[in-house]
Amino acid sequence: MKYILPFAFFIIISGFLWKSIDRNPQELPSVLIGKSVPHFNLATVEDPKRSVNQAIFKDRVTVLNVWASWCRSCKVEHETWLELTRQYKLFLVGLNYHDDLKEANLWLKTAGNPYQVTLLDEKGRLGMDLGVYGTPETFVLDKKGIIRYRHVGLVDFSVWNNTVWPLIQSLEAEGSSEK
Amino acid sequence: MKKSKEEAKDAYIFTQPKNKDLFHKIIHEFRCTVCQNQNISDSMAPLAVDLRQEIYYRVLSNQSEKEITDFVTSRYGEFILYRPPFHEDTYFLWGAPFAIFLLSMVIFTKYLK
Repeated sequence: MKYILPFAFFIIISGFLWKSIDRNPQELPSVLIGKSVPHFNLATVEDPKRSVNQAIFKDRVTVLNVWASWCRSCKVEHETWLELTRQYKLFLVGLNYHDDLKEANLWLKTAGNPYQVTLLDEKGRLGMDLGVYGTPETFVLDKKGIIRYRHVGLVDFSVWNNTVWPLIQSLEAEGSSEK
Repeated sequence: MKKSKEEAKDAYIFTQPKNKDLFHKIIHEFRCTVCQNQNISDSMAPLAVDLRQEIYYRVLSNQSEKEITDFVTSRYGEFILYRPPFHEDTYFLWGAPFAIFLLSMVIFTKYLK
């Protein structure tokens, strides 16, 4: 009888620790899922004179990838995007976060450019509105420009095949059934 | 990245002491999401620098603590708060210490008898 309480205590604590083993503390729940993409007005890396706003996300499913030339894992992920855009027909928009325009351009020219358009967010304004805290980050927006998915960290082929691509397919279907 | 070091020395100037107090109170209560064991007051991460700047402007434009907290949590979630509000998800977090205290008091009094 004497040992029941300490034992129960031990079980409870172990339960919590056990649950935490698989948790990645870097992955925070996103509060933006289900919300419209924030309004913005930004120049593009490809052409700094051209400015775009949230209207580019209308009527198509968008993959929005946040990257920067100073971000090492973005360079690893970049290969994946190049390969994916070869294999799939995607509307992939880059968000160049807190970067230097020259460096960003140099990177796209030397490594290849998988993005249809890359937004230039030098001040990190849109990044802040999206709650970006670690590059690379990837968002999937539906045809209405509503954020449906967010992934912090590298998107690799397993994330793509298991989560992102099935989601894109269902979002594509969503719009057409409404019409 | 390289920008952060220069900006970390940033001095925030306030003409009103109440704004200064509010600013320092707020930046000590927000967790830096990049380096999770620091608050955004101590962190040199670019995101923390940005947030300090943003909060600075908002304090200067006389926004209330609640308005600023809402701005930040609507983007980064409640995880950023060191003292999350009391609601369904946090009952256990807030309640457990009191529950354990009560339980130990019960055991303690029984033991004394």
